[in-house]
Amino acid sequence: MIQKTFRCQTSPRAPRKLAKAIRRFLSRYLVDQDMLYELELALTEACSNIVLYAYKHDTEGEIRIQVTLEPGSCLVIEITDWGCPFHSPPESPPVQPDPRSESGRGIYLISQIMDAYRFSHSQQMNTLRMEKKLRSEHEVPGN
Amino acid sequence: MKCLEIEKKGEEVCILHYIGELTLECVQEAKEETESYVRSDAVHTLVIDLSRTVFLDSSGIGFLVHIHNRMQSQDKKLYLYNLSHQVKKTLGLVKLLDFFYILESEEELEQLMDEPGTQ
Repeated sequence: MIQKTFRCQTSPRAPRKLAKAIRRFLSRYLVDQDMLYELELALTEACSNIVLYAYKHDTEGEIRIQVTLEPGSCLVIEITDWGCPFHSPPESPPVQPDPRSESGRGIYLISQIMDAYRFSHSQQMNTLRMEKKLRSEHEVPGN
Repeated sequence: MKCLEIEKKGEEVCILHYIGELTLECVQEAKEETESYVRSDAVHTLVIDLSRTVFLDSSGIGFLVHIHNRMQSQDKKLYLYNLSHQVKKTLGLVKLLDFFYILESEEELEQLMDEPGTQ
């Protein structure tokens, strides 16, 4: 099992900073570039929601991401913040947004990319757990 | 967004090249920079070149839908041109590849330029 924790203070730049850092880390173990792009996108969406809705553009607050890779099995990403409580959207899986809608596609994208995801809130912490199944062809041989 | 290059094609067509990323970080700036072309009475057709757009998130999608809606409300046309692999991937995930008018090649762009009413 491979595990690494990433931390960053909230800011408009935090989502891309974290997502790029985690993609760089995962690219040591995963070779599928489409999968890496999708994971970077899901991470960007999850962190953007924290900046926009949990911390509401406040500059104080931490985003913590724990990445756990089980080679040949799955990737688990847990994203935690200490902002406003966020509860899981009522529709699961979320419905496809109206094409003319100018917002509201973040969680839909996550649902399209990940095999499983779950929001939880306890002890002043919001946690989003996302899971992606891995197959041998996704991974760097020999890891 | 790292860079926006503007290219005028004839009198009524304007091509905007977005170079870099279209994400939460930069969509407000992208909207502000694009608005004058959307509002211009002289511009009837806007083409957004996404060949060098290396990352598109839901905020970037929102920006493209916003421009589409603004153009349509003025009876003008928006085309997305030469989508990068990453842009295609994101738009495919949200099932919007059929929503936008997409030009796949330079030939299609030239055909558009030759159509009556675009000059």
